[in-house]
Amino acid sequence: MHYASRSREIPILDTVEFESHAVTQPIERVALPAEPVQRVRHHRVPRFWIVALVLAVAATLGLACYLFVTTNAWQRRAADLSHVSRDLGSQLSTARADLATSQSQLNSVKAQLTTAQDRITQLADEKAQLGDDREAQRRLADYQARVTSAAAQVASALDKCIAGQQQYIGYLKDAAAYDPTELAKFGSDVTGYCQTATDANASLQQELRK
Amino acid sequence: MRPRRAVLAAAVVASVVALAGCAAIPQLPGPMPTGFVPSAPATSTAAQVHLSPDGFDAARRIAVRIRNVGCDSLSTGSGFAIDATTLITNRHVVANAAVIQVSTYDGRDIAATAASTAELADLAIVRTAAALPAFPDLADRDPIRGDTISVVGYPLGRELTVTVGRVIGETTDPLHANLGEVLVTDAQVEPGSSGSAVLDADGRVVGVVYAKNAVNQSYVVPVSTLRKLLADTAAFTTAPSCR
Repeated sequence: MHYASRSREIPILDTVEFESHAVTQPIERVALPAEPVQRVRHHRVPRFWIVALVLAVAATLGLACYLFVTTNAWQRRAADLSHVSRDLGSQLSTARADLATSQSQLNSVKAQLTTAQDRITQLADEKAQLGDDREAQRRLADYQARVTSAAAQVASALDKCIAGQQQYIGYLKDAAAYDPTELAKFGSDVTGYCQTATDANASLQQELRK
Repeated sequence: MRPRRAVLAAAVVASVVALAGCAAIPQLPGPMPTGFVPSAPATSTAAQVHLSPDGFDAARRIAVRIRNVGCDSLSTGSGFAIDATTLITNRHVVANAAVIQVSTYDGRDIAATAASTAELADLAIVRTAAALPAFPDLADRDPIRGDTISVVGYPLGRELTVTVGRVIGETTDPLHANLGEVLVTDAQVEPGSSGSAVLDADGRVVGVVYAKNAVNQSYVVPVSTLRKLLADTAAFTTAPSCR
């Protein structure tokens, strides 16, 4: 369908030119031209555009359906993810509580470990001191044993010395009754006993000076 | 252009634009992911390097207490392991001993099987029958002035102690017991600290304490001397005994 119209710039229709008159003027009948009036030409829409439009509308409808489906899918996904997030949040909360508990326990264990280490160090020191004392006592015992042994040797030697001297004095009181050679030998032996006592005493004094 | 045609053209253009926008439309969600929690990261081994079975740090685990039971004397000193059955101390710590007794940081007694001393430095080596708890690395170079050091030993023969100080400088040995220069530090030591390991910030041995002066400065045999003597098989001879 095409409507006749006029355009000043672009004449579209091939029409007969009419003269216009004032309304108030009587309309004069004019004679029609001898040639038949040309029909208005109907400008038909190319089929290409129609097909394109149909395709475009179909594509738009398809797109709308797709977006609808996609939106629904993403909504379900969002709901699932929210559920997962809540679960993870719950797990995180539990994990944080466990971590806090573990941290507290770790601090306690660290403190206990420090105490245990200090105690181990103290015990090691006490053991070392006891070892030192043991060695010192051993040395003292050895010393005392040496002194005692030296003193015993002195005492024994002195005893022999004194006994020998007393006996020798008795012999000398009746010297004529004895062989002078034997008497001299006995006196020499007694001197030896006393020298042994003197040497033992020197050893004792040496030990006592240590 | 006539209106009808313009409308048609606009519709077509709009459709084309809409179709072109298909590239930007959202895709359908893929399968629901399941692994939201990442796998645990690999445990770093760096933090485990300095861990010990009983929580004691390496500096304490390398230290040993040495008791020199002489014929007429009893003295104590310090030392440290350099391998499983070898420890380093001072020559004067083990000299003239009838028996050498070694105990660890946790009080265990370890039998000493042999002792040898160096002639050119106040250093000695003691071999043990059982394995020592731990042993450190020797540093590649001597510390320099200003370096922070730690001394691990048994001052006065009492509890194991770690003392921190700095290297003050170098000097010739005032006791004439060592060839070459020795280090001076402000780490306070006491009798009984002789043979203590001097460690750098990384826990490596940089020297051996052997003396102190009247102003509480300590003298240290540098690790370069220790390395030099350890490399010389003839540098150490059997330690003199009182028996």
